[in-house]
Amino acid sequence: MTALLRLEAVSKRFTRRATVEERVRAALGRPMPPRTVHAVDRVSLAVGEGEVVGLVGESGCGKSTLGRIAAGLYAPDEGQALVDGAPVAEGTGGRVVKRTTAVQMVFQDPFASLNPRMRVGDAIAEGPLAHRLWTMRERSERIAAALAEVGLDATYAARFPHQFSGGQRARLGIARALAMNPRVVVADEAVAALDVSIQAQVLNTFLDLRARRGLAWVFISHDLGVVGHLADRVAIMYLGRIVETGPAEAVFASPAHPYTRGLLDAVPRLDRRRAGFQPVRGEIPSPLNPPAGCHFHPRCPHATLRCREERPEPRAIAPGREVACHLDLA
Amino acid sequence: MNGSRAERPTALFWAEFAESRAAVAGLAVFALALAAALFAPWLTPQDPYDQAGLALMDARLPPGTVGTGGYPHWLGTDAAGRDVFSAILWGLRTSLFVGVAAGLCALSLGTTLGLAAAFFGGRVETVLMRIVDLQLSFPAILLALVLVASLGQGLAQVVTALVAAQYAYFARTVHGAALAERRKAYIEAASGIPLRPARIVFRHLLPNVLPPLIVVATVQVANAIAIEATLSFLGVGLPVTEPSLGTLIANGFQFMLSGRYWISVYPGIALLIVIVSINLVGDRLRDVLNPRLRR
Repeated sequence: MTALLRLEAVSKRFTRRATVEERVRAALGRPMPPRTVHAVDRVSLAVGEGEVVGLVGESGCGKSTLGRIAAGLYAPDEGQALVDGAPVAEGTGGRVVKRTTAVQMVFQDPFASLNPRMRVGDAIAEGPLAHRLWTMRERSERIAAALAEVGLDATYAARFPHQFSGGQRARLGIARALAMNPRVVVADEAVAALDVSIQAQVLNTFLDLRARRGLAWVFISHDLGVVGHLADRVAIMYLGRIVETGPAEAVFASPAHPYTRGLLDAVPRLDRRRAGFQPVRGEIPSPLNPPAGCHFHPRCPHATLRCREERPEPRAIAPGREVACHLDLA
Repeated sequence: MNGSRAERPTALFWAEFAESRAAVAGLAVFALALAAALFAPWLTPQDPYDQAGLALMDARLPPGTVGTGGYPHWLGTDAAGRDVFSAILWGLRTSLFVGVAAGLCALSLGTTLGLAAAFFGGRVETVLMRIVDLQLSFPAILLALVLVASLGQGLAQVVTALVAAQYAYFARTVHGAALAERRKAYIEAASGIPLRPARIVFRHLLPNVLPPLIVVATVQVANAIAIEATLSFLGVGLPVTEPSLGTLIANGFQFMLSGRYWISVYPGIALLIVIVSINLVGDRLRDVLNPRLRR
């Protein structure tokens, strides 16, 4: 399988602007600890043609940042994000310039990501018209088709975003992304803001589209159930690094990384009584000052001295499966 | 489709605006003043610019007197025998033109600068906004006075001075509103398509900073009229050949103590009515467009 979207050792750091105190201290030769967050730390990930990859992790683990790098909203500080071998975005002088329309994004908050003063038909048609994918003559037909594809009525095109329900807005976000005729869609917590019943409907729309369009998806979620439902392959993220990747079924059946095990154990299930539940110890550490070696070692029940000092690199444990762990738990 | 008509933002907006009678009255008075100014040549018995049409016999007639023209001077005449009512309508024409022209120019200049500063950030923002801050620390009237004094008299000069003195208010307002909007997800969504920066700024950012902008625009038109009147009253604004309401007030000022109040007071009242009506509209717009006061 050839990779359509390829992230090669990408890193993204965020630096807070120095306060007056920090600047004075630095000038006096006594600098304070750096204020840099390694949101994404040398992550590699490939998405094949028509493949659905689920990106899973707790909040603050960098999965949204990684999604934004893949979608060309951020330029990576190191490494590169390539679609069909060409960079998705270029950073020039502090600004990011996206270079392709082949990757589109569906945002977490469907209401905030729609311009409140633009009719939804105009919002959907704006990108394709600006990039000459559509002509003015076929505009209304195309809008109707785009709305129909996500299960919305063509007459809705003249409405404003505030006139829609949450589930409808989520569909509008998807319709806008699909109108650009992308090859990869990055969906960042696209159903997290919805009620569970509406979530199911929107997920069915995703499954439908997946079957019909043959698009590749990067589906970012903290919800293992949602990802298990959709994804061919999953990537588990912890504190800016991918700890495990592999086919969804295999990873869920026999997790190889202790963090993945902890995550899977934390999923509430009807057939298991609460008494036997062992949560992952402790809190997720601050990304401002991550632990040395393996980021997970302070919470890992199997940690050794090596885990404290040496960063585990991803290694293959089965065809298509990689884990970043020094131990052999699989 | 017809079901959504009632929900049209403009209809809702007007219904809410009309809840204040004072604001509707202000709007009506302003529309009337605008019409009077526009149709002044057909509404006035006399052309105050036509020196040949003036008779010294008619000088300083009190309100209501019938002059040599055979028609009553309802608001009296001035020292040159000019009908004050006619002069007011023609003066209104000049004053409103200056106010609206200066307001619109300052609006476009200030909005462009404010949006550019907010969208591009960095050094562009720092330089533009520091200049604006510096300017806002001076009273607009002082700045306008200095500029007119150095540019000279004339309509174009006065409008230029007013724009230079007022664009900063627009730039500051737009910048503040755009900074808040720029961080929102729909801007990120637009740049992720990707769309060109100019398109994002004018199609996405601008429509969403319009509400505060409209409020500032109304208030600044009233301010421009008042500043122009002040400049003309002080004798540095418009030349006497193009009298505005301020020129008319100055024109009759010397007669105030001799009991011929009408030459000065009636243009003054006209000025007052125009400014109050614009401010009533502006105040209501501020209430209606402020999301924090929304019920």
